[in-house]
Amino acid sequence: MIDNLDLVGLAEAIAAGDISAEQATAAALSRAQNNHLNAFVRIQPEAAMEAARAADQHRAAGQPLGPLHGVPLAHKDMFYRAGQITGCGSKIRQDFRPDQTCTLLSALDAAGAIEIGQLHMAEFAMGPTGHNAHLGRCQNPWLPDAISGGSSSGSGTSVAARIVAGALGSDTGGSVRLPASFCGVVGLKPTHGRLTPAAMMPLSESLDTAGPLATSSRSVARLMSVLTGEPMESGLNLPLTGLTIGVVVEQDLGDCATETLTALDEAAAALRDLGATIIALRLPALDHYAAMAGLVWAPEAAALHLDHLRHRPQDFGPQVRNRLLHGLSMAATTYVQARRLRAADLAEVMAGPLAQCDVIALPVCRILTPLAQHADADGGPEMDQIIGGLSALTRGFSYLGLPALSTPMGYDPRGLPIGLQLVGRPRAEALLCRVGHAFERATCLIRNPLLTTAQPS
Amino acid sequence: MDKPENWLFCAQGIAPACSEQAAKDSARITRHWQADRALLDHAAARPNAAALFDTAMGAFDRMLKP
Repeated sequence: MIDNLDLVGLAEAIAAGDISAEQATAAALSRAQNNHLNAFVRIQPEAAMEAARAADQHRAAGQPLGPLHGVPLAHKDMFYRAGQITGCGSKIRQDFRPDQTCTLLSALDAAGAIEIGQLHMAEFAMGPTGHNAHLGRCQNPWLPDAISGGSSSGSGTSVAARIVAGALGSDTGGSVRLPASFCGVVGLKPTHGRLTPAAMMPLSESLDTAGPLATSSRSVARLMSVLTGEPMESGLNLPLTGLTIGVVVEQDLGDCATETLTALDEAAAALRDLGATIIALRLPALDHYAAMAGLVWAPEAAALHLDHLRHRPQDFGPQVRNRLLHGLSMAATTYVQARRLRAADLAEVMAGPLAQCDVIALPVCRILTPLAQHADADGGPEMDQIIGGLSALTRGFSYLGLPALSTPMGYDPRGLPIGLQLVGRPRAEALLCRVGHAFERATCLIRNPLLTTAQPS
Repeated sequence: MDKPENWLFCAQGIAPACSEQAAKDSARITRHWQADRALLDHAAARPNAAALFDTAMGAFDRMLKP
C-alpha cells in the first residue's frame, strides 16, 4: 500500500491512522538499506524510528498534526543539521559538522517530517550525471546502466525507487530537473530567492536554489507550502481553461532527440485537451541564456573553493577540479558583464515569451537518458561537451531566475522516462504545480520503476 | 610557467600539483578564455546590449520579487 502512495497520500494515510508513522518509516528504512542504487550516503535508523514512534504517540494523544506528520524523507547531503556530518558529496568535507541547522530542514521538522538519511550527490553539486569520484555512481532505478542525473542524484533515485516519498535537492543549472527527468519523478526549481539558502552548501549564489522532488506535482506543492509558509495547494484542482501554454518550437530547441520531440507534441495535445490554449513559441535566445549561466556560476564556484584549490587540490575529483579551474581563469569583467546583462535578458523574456503565454513548455533535456559509460567523463576534453549538452535546456532558466518544474511526458524505446519542463513567471510555483497536477492526472505517466523493466538499446 | 593560465593560478596561490594539472589541459583553458570573450562579444551585439552597462545588478533581484 505504501508504495502506491505519493507524499500527500502518505501524509493523509498517517493522519487518518491507516498507516502509522512507525510502519511508514520502517518501510522506508528497509528499502533504503536493501538496494544497490547507491542513493544514500548515511542512514539514521535508530533516530528515525525513535522520531516515528514519537510521532505516533503525538497523534494518539490527539495533538495537532503538521502537514507532513510522520512522513519519512531524505535529502541531498548538503543541507546542514547542527552537529551532524554534511559531506556535500566530497572528500574535502567528509567530516564537516556544521554548527547550525538549515532553515528548510527546520521547516520540514516543524511540519512533522522524519529524516531517515542523507542522499548521494555530485561532488559539491557540480555535475549533471550522478557521477561522483569519491562516492561512486548513483544508479538510475529504471536501468542500472543509465545515469541518474545530477547533481541531486540520490534525490531523484530515492524518490523514483519509492524509498522516500519526497526529498530536497538543489538546482544551479538543472540539478533538480535533470534527475527528476531521468528518474521519472517531479522536480521543482523555484524562483531564485524564493527559498532561503540559509545553512545549505553554496555553489553559485546568483543561481543556487533548493528544490523539492516527489512523485506528483501535488506533493511538490505540499512541500513548497511547508518550505515557504505560503499556500501552494489551494488552486491545484482548478481547470487549465484560460491558460496559454507556449510550446517552444523545434528550431529553438537545438538538436533534440526525435522521441523527445514526439513526446513534447503529445504533451501539448494533452494540455490542449485539458482546456489550455497552446501556441507555438519562439525562444531563439535560449542558447544565449544557457551560455551566460556558465559565465556566472563558474567564477562564483571557483571563488567559494579558492582555499580548497590552494590547499587540497588533490582531494577534488578531476571533473570537479577542472571545472573550478575554468571559473578561476575567467576575467572579472566577463563575470560582471554577464551578471549585469541578466536583468536585461529577464526583461526581454518577460516582455516577449512570458507576455505571450502563462507557461513555457519544452523538454528538460535534448538527448535521451545516456548510459553511464557514455556520460561519465573524468575531466578530460569531452567533459564540457557532455555536461553542457545535458543541461542545455535547463541552465538558461537558472540564469533568468525563473521557476521551472519537470514532470514525465513519455518514455523512450528503452522504457526510460522523458521529462517535460514547465517554466513560469517569477513566483509562479503554484501555477506550475497546478499545470503539472492536471497533466499527471490526465496522462498517468508517473510510473513505478519497480513494477516495470527498462532495457538497454 | 610560460603559459598565462599557470601564472594566473600561481598568483592566486594554487598549489603546483594543481597548476600542473591545469597545464595538462592548457589548450582547453585557452579555449575557455576565447569562448568567454566570444560570448560577451555576442551579448554586446544583441539589441538589449545598452543595458549591459547601465543596469544595476539589483534590478534583476527586484524583478523576481512581487
